[in-house]
Amino acid sequence: MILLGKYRYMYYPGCTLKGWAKDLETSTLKVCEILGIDLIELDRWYCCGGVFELSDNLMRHLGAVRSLIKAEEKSKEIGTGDLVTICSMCYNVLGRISFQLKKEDIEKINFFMDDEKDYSGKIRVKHFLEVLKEYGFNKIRNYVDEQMGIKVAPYYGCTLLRPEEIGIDDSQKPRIMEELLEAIGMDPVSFPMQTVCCGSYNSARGIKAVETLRKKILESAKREGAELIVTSCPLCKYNLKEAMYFTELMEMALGGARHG
Amino acid sequence: MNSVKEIAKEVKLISGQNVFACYQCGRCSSACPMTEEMDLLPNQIIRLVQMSDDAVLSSVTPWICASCLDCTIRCPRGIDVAKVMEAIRQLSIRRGIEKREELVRNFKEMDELPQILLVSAFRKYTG
Ligand code: SF4
Ligand code: SF4
Repeated sequence: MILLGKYRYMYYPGCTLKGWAKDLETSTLKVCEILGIDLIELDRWYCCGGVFELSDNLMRHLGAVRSLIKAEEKSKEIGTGDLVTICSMCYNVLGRISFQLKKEDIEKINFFMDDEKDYSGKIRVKHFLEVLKEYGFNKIRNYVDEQMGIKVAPYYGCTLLRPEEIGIDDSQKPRIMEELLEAIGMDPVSFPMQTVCCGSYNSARGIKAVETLRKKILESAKREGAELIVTSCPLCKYNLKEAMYFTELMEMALGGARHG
Repeated sequence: MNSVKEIAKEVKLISGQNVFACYQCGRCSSACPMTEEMDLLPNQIIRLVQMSDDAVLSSVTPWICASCLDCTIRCPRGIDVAKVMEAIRQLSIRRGIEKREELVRNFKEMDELPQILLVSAFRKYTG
């Protein structure tokens, strides 16, 4: 039996956090340790698929549904149906499956998937930013020793906000990262292109494919006086080249030593 | 095999979207971040689908679409333009008119790339 605190969540890391974006996972877990948030990784999970299948091919949802089934099993042990992701793209795919996939689609998938229990739809997928909001930005403030006052531009991109049914905030004027940044002693700067897509998987054709877009986005942030750009998406970080994970900045701001 | 005339119908069946609701306001195209790389604008694609014009199958636009949904949230006629783009990709693959090889020829060393990039590109370029 694991001893868990008040803030406990199941955790779905996704492939990128175990590979290219290890820093995103390490910094998140460090932040959780400081704040006393328990993230319990699922015993088994599968790749979310990266992008949600938009049209009629249900086969493409199997991996994500399988992970939700594993989460349903784990939820009995942990006593919460909340499943947390940190990567924006995983959030988008799992979130859309759990909120949006039609009942008859899930029934069809359950019917054909013989080797797993049925997915009953009880899992709530949350992004780590929502977890922090639930925890309370005001409470986070208590862990901050120094007002660093760095001008930080939060870059949302698309997958945290669209489609609107699963968006963690207003799809065109989000505030959640600004509020968090303010709480950790930064000086948040919103900018016009903060919700524009970074070009996503177009960089598979070579990084040049997203160059024009990258320049526009970075310039848009710099024009507002930004010294730093933060994101929660490994692909945005890759495409923008000059971004940092918001959790890395949090780790810096929360220090940790004093509260150990 | 269906005739070219059926494009509008097939797109509707795959995507569930009614492209005939489009009145060519162009908002999808003005929101789209990828237009500089495209040969046809998103609103032009919709128009061509209305006319079942097979030019949509040879256009690079559906393959450049990043599925970012900026068009979708802005369309005043409620058309999920991103879904239409995906339906065209699937239709091209089902008909054997593919753009994939051309798109992935610049693949760099795999281990330098974020896993999510490879997975999502693989998924979008295969339908
Ligand atoms: S925004 Fe909608 S109605 Fe306007 S051109 Fe695009 S698809 Fe047509
Ligand atoms: S979903 Fe595709 S077509 Fe629509 S705005 Fe994004 S890149 Fe452009």
